[in-house]
Amino acid sequence: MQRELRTDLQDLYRVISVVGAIGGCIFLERDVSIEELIKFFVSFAQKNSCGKCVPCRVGTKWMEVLLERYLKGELSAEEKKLLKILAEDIGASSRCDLGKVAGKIVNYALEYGLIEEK
Amino acid sequence: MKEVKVVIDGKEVVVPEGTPILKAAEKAQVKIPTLCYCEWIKHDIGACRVCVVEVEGQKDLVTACNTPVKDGMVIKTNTPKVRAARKLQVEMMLSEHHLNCPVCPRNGTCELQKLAEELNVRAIRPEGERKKWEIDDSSPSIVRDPNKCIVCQRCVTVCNEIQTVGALELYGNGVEAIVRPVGGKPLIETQCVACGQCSIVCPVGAIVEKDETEKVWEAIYDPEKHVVVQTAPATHVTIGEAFGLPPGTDITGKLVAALKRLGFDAVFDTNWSADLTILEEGTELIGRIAANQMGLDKIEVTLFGQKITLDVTPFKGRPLPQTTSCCPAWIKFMEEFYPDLLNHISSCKSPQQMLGPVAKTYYAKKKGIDPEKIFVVSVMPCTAKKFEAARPEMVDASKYWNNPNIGRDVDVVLTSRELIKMLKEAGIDFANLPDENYDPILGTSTGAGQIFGATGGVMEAALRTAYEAVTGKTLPRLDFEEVRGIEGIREASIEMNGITVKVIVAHGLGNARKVMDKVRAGEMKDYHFIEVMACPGGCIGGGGQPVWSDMATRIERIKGIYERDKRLPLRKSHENPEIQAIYKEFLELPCGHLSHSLLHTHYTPRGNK
Repeated sequence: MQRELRTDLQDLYRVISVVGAIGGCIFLERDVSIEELIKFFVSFAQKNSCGKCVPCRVGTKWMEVLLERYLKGELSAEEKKLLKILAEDIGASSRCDLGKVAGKIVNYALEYGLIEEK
Repeated sequence: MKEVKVVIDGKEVVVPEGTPILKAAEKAQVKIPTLCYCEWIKHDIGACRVCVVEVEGQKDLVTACNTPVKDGMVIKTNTPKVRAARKLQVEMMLSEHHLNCPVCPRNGTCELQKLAEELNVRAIRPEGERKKWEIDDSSPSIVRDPNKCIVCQRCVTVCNEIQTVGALELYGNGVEAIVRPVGGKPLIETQCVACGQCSIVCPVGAIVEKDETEKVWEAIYDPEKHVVVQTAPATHVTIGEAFGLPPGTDITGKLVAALKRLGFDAVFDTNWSADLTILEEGTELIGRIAANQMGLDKIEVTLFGQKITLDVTPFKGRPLPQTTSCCPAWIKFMEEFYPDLLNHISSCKSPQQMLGPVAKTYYAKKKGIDPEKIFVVSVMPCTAKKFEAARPEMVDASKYWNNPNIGRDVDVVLTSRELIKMLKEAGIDFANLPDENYDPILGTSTGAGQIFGATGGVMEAALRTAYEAVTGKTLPRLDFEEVRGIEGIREASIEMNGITVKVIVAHGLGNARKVMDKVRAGEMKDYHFIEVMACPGGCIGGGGQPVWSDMATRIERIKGIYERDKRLPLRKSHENPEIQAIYKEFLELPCGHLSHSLLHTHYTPRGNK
């Protein structure tokens, strides 16, 4: 991330450690945007969600669908509001850090304008 | 116990240290909504995240059901963040759920429905995809619809921790995660014992009993069929609950009246055949003790007021301790997990399975009815009874008459839940019905038969008869309080003619497992009789009972069972005149030749553990 983020250090550490838990480096074939990377991580959370809690099991799927729409340029303003509500809830309610971080990453991205209105 | 002070929604409460926030909130008259939390099975894994609350100083929300309070904690249960979280969790569950509530078997008793109403959910914002799993109809007792599953995992907890059967697992990731039979097999191919506790704890319609009400309607409408119905002991104190009466209310007379109005040709009582079971099983117990522990060939017993000599040589080699055999989930549990110990189980059939062949032989003869036309329906608190009635060996009436057209001894088993649906469909005003009596021949029963519905009841009923048979004396006191109660494993001992008969009562298969592990290890050699009920509380807590069967409700039903026993004029199985009649006119002696061909059975080793 190249921007300066004013954020809670503890949260940031957790974000970094969970992203790192993907298993080392992510090798990408081409340049990706930060939004694509965020969606990549949310997909990772959904695919690896243990299924034990509702916000991560179901919520990360919703976020994934909305982020896919965003990347295609099809996300409405209403849906962007929903994405924010989701991210806040998933970030605060999930049972473990996998779900929480998926929520927090999207939350930060929205707060700092990384996911822009198209 | 150290006490701590916490503030909940501005109210200060003092609770023992470690109390979950949910319980502390109750003290402040705050009801935090929950969904997956299930107190009586100690299920507090925090799956649904509906009970989340805000704790001052913590950024993230915490679940109230399993977060212990700390001294000085300040908790808020109704902030905008909490309200938004709860609604969203429910919307998430609804987004992948069918919304066909009116045609779902849990319409009106569904906890997801109720929560959506309580939380004023007005929209399902994101579009989820409805799941597309196959319905598992393989078991005769239970139907699984994984598309309705909200992955609360209560069923996994009850099957693994309480019943120690382990037939269900959580499998898969993300939205593909589902609860399924272990290994993804159809339920009938697993070690599921059909106890149905999963269907009791399931908050939605993902696990339900197999609905066989149509078969019963058809039989009732068929003018050719003579349809008889038998009512299990547990149903006598349960059915009223669906019609506004408290659990434990004795609704026997109303139940009979309602069944007659539904159109059954005869209404019989499984309490009657419970008395019959006691005569058979009590005799078997005396025989096993006499033949194996005392080394005798014959023993003198008092039966129906007369001294007779019982030949006990057929019982040689049948080991002690003997276990009861009236619970079909227990039977399958033994077949799956203790196939090496099957000869400990009494050879007696259950009361349900004794009444069936008796109706198609003894009753048919007495009334001059063609046995081919007799259709036997039972009303049971139990899902495993459907499996039991379908067991291939349960066709003894057909063998007796040498007529394959006679079919099963028990044609259809209805759970309490299904009967309640039939009564509602028929518009019967159950709570206001006048009392009616069972039909004769298979209708009179004693308190001993009634107590079969509670854990410890079969044991007590057997002792009431066995004591008098062996000693020739009347019991000084009929109430064997030591075998009553809800303690998981209970012990008692009774002196009978110089032998100290030691007995064990266990309920819930987890407790049964503990006892049988000891039997296998040879540690129970000086015990004589073990009663096992698969369902916590006994049959009144059966898998076919109304879904609101938490422990408090089960306890009320148990009270109702023993109260009815106390009020009945006859309280010992051998005093039942209709039982005396069937032996005099038909069976001759307990464990005699005819008894063996109609009222006794064998078991099938299934597992290899």
